[in-house]
Amino acid sequence: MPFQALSALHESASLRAVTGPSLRPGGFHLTERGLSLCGFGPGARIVDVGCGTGASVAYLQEKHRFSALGIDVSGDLFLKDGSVKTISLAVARAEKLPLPNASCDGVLCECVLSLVSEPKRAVEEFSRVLRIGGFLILSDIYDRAPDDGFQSGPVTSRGCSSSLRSRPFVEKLLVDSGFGPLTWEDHSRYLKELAAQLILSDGSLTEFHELCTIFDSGCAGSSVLQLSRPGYYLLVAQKMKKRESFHG
Amino acid sequence: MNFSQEAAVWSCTSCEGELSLIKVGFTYMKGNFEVDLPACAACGLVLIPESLALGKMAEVERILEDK
Repeated sequence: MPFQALSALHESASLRAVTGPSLRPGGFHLTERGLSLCGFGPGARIVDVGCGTGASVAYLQEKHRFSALGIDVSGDLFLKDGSVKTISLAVARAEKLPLPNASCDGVLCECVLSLVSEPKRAVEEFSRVLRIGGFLILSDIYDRAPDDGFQSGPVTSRGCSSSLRSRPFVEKLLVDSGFGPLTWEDHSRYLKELAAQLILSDGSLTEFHELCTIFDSGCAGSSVLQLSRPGYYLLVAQKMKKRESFHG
Repeated sequence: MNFSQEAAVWSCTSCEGELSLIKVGFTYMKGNFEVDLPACAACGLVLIPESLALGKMAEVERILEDK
């Protein structure tokens, strides 16, 4: 199952050794890039959905003085990290956030949406908790292959599932939930560099091949060449009033 | 043979010191990477094992070139 396999990958010591506590391609460089497109002021209320260790929550608080909250489906990572003393964290699913309507200025969701079993519900939740004019910052792995229609869910092939989704699929999720306009940037270079670093890191090949197998839509096996199809994106979108919703 | 084993069977050609694994940073195709490599404990000369040069680096190159 992709969720369990990816969760295990996120929690692996080898991946953590390569990425540091951010546990994702691009690390805080991409977080900063997303924030720069939003223009949040000091004290902005930001929720990090799928916060993992809570590293981004601490970063948002310490570097930007935002009022940040972290939410993760698993308490394991942040409990190990020891950050619970200084940052606010809660255990919940992305599809059911324990927050009131319109209570946030920003939602941050980094390298997580592909792990969520019900991405449509999750994006609807992001929209619900955001105020009108608030921003969603998404970064995640996606399928860079030429669009062959809106992939509606996991693809199963040869006994293994892939949660790799296309750009049109992701953008449609957001538009349907009242977001727009969308700023999409391809940052696949970060994913390639992470894969390369995993290869170079002694003992990380197992995790790397797992990554290849999980994200290869054909699930054909362990060739590193298969990582050429997955890409990595940064997407920033603003919650609009209903009549302003973007229908592009 | 892994890099620890490589370190054990080689000695430094410059000062004949023993090799041990150290973290080496390098730039390749505009990417910055780190890898633990055998290096001389005395003078710091780094050994690049054949398996890295011909094996892992070839895979890294293919990924970065998007082939």
